[in-house]
Amino acid sequence: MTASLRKVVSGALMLSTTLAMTGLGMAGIAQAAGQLNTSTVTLSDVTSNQTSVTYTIAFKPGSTTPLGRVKFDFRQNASTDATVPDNFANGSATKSAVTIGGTGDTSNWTLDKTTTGTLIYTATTDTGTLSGSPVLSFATANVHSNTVSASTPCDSVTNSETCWVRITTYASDNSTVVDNGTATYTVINTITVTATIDPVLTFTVAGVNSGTTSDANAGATSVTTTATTIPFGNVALGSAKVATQDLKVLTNANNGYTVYNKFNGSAPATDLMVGTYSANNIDPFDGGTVGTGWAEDGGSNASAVWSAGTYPNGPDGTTRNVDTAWLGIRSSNANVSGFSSANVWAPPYVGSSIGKKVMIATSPDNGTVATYVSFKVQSNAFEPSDQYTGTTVYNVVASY
Amino acid sequence: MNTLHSLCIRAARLVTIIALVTTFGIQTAFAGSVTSQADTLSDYQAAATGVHHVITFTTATTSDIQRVAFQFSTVSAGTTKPSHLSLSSATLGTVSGLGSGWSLNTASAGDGLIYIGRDTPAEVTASSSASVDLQNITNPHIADCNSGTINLSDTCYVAITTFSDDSHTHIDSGETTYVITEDPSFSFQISSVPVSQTHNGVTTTVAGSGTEFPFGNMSPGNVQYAAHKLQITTNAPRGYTVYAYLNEPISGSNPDNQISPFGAVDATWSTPQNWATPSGTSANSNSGWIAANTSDTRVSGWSSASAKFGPISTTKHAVATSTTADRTEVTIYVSYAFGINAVQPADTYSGKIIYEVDALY
Repeated sequence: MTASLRKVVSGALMLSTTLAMTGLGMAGIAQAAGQLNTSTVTLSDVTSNQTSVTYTIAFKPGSTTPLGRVKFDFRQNASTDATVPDNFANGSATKSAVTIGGTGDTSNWTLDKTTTGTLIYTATTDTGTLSGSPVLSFATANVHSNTVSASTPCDSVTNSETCWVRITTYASDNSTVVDNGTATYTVINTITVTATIDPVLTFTVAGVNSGTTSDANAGATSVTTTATTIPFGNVALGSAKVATQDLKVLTNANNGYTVYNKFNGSAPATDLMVGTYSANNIDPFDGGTVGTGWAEDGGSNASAVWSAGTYPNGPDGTTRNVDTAWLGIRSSNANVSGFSSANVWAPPYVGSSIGKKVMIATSPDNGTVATYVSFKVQSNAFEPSDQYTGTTVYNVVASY
Repeated sequence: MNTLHSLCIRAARLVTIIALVTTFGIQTAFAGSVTSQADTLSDYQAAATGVHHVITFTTATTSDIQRVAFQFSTVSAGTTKPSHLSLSSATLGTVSGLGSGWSLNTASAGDGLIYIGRDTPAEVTASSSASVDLQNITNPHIADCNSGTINLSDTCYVAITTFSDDSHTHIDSGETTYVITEDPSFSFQISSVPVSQTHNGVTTTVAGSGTEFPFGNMSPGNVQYAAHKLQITTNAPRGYTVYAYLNEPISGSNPDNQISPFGAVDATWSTPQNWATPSGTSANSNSGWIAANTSDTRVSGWSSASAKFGPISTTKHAVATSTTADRTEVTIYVSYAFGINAVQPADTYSGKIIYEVDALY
């Protein structure tokens, strides 16, 4: 063979080698094990150490190979050993739902839960070719989630525990590994929020100017009151006067509050309002023919209408100091029974008990809406001329 | 001359036949491709050090062999070394199936090329199963080879070429791959924030702990602030979301007493608003509010939300999120506001905040 021929043959050999490598392409490269992707583990309750947690594990396959089995290993680490997270248990686990590409396939799979830390789903009929990278989802109920501990090997974090689920898929023969993947889940200690809202109660009494109609059922006021005075002033024969006070309660008492009113003294007939001559007094309103009384005392008659008096439309007594002058009281508060009609009044309480209810709330009150407590006084010709005084008291009782 | 011409024609026919045969992928033992090639690693973890790469292949040609080169690359038939792969300290372990006298040359390790050579070529028959143990190699990192990978694995390449001399006369060649993997990791830590610290415009007024927010004694109109520090590190390639929610409404010892989710005008989790005093006028209906603020600007609606709040309730709301791995620790502050007005009933209230971590691998 000549030198030139050798060159031709050599060139032919080089060409053939080049073509051989080109023709092989990637066919000679070893294929790696498939990797699952988009894997996630979702717990129905992420609180640690719960007995009936549903673990839903979803992933996309790394290949289209039909699957016959899927295994989930719950571990304290991603790959190094087979230790199960502390207190994790699947002995009571139950199959909840299996979906392949969003389509239910639950009945096709059986669950093997015999090994602690391992759940194995086996298909009666394999999944078929998994084209389009469908999401496979396996939900297992009644799993006992693991505990959180800084000493637990899942991690060294104090208030949460991130552990691993190793996922292995198998071909139709249930033994040939198709894909692997690992995902994490985190259980936590809950964070307790606490707060104590302290009781608050602010009671405000304010005066109401003369000529004000705060409570239409009481009528326009005749005098100006303050927080501490109700100065009726001169009361002319047969002429009634009305005075009103503005009551507000701000409280966060859970069950609200009651404001009571009473006049100091022991006997209504003698102590309500007393003249400078002590035998002279003004009596509690007595509605005469329509009767008197507070609804809270059980009387269906409730409070009486002032206008029932015999002379002239007022106190009906004919013996001095006995129903010859009346002092009445009413409330605008809708929760106090008996005062919803116009000109309805009741006799002020005088005595040793807490008094009569003039303001009621059954829940907290932000103190923006007033209750108007009004007083009405009137005398007839038999009431001695004198200067009368009395002391009224409000008592607030909150119910928490 | 006729004889020479005849030889040339025969040679040309031979070239044609060989070319046709190899083009259609039929294996040939003639100056061809190694087969059964593989690279088995002692540790497939990304960035692992001291790793053995046991490269095995079957020769295709009976020939003297003096050198076997291994080109580590990021792509098939490439010459770019995976950036974190380190071959410079590689040592040679056992060589089998290729005879004796081999030593390792790492002079071009920086380019991903190392080779074993010997002083004198020796014949290796075709179909010999060869094995070369390259030791003390540092593995690449994820995405060194496929920069676009979003998985916890990465495929890198090793080209194998045998030479009959110590220079350029190659005999067989081929390529194999190895897959670097990384175990999923997720670190999630909840810790307290001391009092008087300001994060995302919210200054804490009470110190919490990893398990408790004691807002303490409160009076109408009062608002208290507490915060959690969340530290997250993960290689979850598709990221994660951390949700915060209440397992049930915060309620008093009287179960009718409840704190409402923050209900300021237009306040939703994705449209946070400045704190406002609860507006309800009836007890237990917007008379007490619980709200939260997150410093994670990746959460929808929170890109610029200093001192703003959204409602916290039994509905899960994202307080931290990422669509990619946070391989470097991310610190998120989640601040809570608890405020009441006058009609929130006096009581001792309690509830539970839950963080849920959903990682996507």
